[in-house]
Amino acid sequence: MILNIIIVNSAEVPIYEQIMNQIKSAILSGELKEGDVLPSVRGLARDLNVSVITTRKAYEGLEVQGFTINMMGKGSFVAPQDMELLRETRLVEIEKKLTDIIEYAKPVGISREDLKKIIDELGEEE
Amino acid sequence: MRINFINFTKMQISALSQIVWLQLLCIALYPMFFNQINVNNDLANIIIYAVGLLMLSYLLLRNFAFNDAKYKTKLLFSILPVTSTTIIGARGIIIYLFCLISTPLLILFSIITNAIKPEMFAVIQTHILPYGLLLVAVFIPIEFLIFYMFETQKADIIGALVIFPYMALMALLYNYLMNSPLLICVIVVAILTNVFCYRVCNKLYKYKRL
Amino acid sequence: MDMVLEICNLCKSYGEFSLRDINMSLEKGTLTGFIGPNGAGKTTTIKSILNIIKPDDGKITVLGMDSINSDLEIKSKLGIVLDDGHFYEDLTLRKMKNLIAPMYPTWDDNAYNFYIKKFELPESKKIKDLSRGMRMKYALVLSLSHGADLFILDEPTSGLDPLVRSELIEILKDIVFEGNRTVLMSTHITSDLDKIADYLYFIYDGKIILKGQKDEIKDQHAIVKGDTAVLLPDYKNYFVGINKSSYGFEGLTDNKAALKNVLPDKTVYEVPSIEDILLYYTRRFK
Repeated sequence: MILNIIIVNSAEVPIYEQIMNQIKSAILSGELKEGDVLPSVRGLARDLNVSVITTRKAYEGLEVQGFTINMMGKGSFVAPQDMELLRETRLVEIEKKLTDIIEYAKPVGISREDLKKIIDELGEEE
Repeated sequence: MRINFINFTKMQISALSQIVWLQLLCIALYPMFFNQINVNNDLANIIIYAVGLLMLSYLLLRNFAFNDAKYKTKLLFSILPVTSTTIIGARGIIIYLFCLISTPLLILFSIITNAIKPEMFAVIQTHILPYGLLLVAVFIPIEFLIFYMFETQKADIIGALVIFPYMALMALLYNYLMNSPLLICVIVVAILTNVFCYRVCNKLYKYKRL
Repeated sequence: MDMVLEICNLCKSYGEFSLRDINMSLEKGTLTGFIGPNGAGKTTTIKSILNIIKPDDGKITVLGMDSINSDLEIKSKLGIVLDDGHFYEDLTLRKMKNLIAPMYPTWDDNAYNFYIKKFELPESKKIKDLSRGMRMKYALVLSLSHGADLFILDEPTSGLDPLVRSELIEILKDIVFEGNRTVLMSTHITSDLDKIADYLYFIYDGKIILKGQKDEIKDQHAIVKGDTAVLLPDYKNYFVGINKSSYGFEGLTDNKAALKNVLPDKTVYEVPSIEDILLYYTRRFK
């Protein structure tokens, strides 16, 4: 199981959200598979130098969103994922982000065409 | 709780500092007061014996206070699972133990001084000891009380001054001691002062914790 | 939730200084930082918890027991590290341990030996020859060996060099790690708490002026920097404190979310350190 979590201190995003997002992307990318055990709340808190309450909050958030299942006394497991649904939600997020980018590009006169070009170029690099 | 009482007493004893050695020296020297001039004057001998023990036990009390100040032991005691009852009780016990242990030592040293200069020094007459200890039991708690009631410096002065009225009172009580039916009264007085002073000292210690 | 310590409306006054309506509750398995400038009332609060001083008013419950009536039971379950040395300095570590150990029914000598080795304490040295950091560690070893549930530390890191401080912080992290032990730590060196605290209580002039979960406090607050011209007339409502200069403003807000709606995007937001928060709040209450 590979799980990299990097906490950025000066970020806009609250720490619990950072943890949630990174575990989510690990699940989405398949690094964490169904049934994998997440590190314990306390262990993760200690290793990341963050508060237990924050990691607990992140784990609770993940459970509410259906990414994990918490079994009393056994820890949190990665839940079976409905990939279709995940794709949907991702799409919505991407749309939102792209709208932001378009807004951001507008004042300096970068057109949609330019943006598309950037995306294509980035794709080629990969 | 009871176990801690013994443990705490042990701790207090093991932490007594060098002054104790000075006290042993005093014990070695003070048989010199028992001399041939008043060898048969029981009243004088009892008072010398009792006052001597009172003064030595006061030094012991000072030693506790000295440690409290030097090592901040009041702070230590306040974080250990011991109550002020234990602390005051243990100190009382130590002082009484000290009186009991120093008595045979006193006799031993008086035998030595007597052997060196028989024409001057007398051996302590053992029949006075129980009466002396009873008087000590009446007055030590009062000494304790003075000690815990005032700041150490003030208590020293007051303690030194009250030695004289003590001696007068002892002379008075001595008459009762000799009169066996009234001996029981003195014992009752001793018990009462012990209980009363113990309780008050306890309150005082708690009140003046830090 | 399991509350290990609860303080209700604690009041205490001495001459000029007074502690007013202190309320605090500690959740089991967490580390709480108790911060404020010197003389704000941290030590007085801690001494009240330890039943060393008698409060004028209020109730303190430690480990579910009344702090005054169950003094003895509580003391045998507390691990206390105070700012001043309070050991017999002329004794060696081993001798001091031998005096203290029998007083605790739950003393565990194996644990003692384990921690003495782990913290590299010289057992045969006299306590007066120990450095400050070592003394703190020794006090912690004693607390760990009698199986304390609640650790109360008064300024454990003051006067320590950064290396020893971080070592001590790691030890404290390990103490709360399993979730059974709780730590209350007073300090004026807030950078230690940035790393390890779960909850924070800010005390100033005898009053708690801010309390809560550390990361939440840090999320709500932000250091805001920007052009003075963009500030609206009612800007003071959004800020705990603000400094304006000819180049712009810098301030601490306690409502980042609301401020983001009223200020233009160009404004910069930074995550405040606990020290920033402490400084702005104490300036406000001055």
